[in-house]
Amino acid sequence: MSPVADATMTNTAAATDTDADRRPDLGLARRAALGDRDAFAEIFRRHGRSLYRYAVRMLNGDASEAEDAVQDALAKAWTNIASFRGDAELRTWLFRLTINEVTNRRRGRRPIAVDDQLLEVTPAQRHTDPSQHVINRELNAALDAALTELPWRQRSIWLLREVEGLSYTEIADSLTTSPTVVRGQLHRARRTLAIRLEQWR
Amino acid sequence: MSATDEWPEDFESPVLDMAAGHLRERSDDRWVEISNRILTHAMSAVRRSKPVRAQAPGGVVHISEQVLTAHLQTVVDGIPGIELDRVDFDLDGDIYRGIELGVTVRYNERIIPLADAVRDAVAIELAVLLGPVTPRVTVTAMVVHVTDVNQY
Repeated sequence: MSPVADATMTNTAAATDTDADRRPDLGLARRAALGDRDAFAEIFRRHGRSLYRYAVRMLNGDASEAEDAVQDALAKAWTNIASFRGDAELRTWLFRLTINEVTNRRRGRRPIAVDDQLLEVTPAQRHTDPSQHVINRELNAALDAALTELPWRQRSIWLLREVEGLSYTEIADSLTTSPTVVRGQLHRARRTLAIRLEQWR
Repeated sequence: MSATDEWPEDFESPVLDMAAGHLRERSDDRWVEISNRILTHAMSAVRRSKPVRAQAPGGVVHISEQVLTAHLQTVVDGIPGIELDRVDFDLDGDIYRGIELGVTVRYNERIIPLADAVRDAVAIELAVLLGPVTPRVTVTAMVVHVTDVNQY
């Protein structure tokens, strides 16, 4: 029998267990590309919630639109995952798909103009006996409200960096811009949000 | 401030950081309710798959690359110590010309015997599935990834 015509070996630091829970993202992506539905389900389990969380905040809390956006992004991921070769992180690739879907839906909405010199501090509720749970809930609501008033790109960058933990380079790749622009937009976003939440300091 | 200025990395806002932390930790109300629905719908999307010519007793038939890949995955995954992670068919129209396989081998496994086993198993399976086609079914190339169990 003739030997294998060509064998190229690479070392990768990855789990070998067939249990999808322990497999790294690239391994899961390869298996999903073969049609392994369990592998894709694990990808979804790891990243789906983050994609949805991002989509909800970018679509001003519209849960139904966010669900549609994430669903369409993941459908594209399922059909095109064979094209993912591991040049970037899988989550970056998934966020890029989600950003496209969210952006397409945003185009149908009226933009909210924001002058960051006129932003006001969001007043905190006064409680005679505030429980931490109530305070946290109100802070959460204040943040959500403040996010809807950020310019689109600042909002996206702040969420991707401060909530989802993507690097400047990953964010730049996802938004087709440069890390320098990302840093500048992030600084503006942080400044604006901090002012809006000053009352909770 | 211009894009070339240095942005202060230490712009501090404990309240904002705390709010960001809350956002990371809290669950959106509908997530549990909708997550299964999202996944089910996403995976119902149809993947494009090229047809591959096969020779059946009754004449020429076509089998999709996806179906062939699913059969090969079952065959290769049945070989201990090795796992299939990529299949690229080389087609001339709908005629099979060759196949490149990507496999993952556990560290310390003997690669050559495993690769030979995969090549033979895949060639046999493809011959069964495609029938007596011309040119004869062969496995063209294989890419082997070696993984290190000690990393986890």
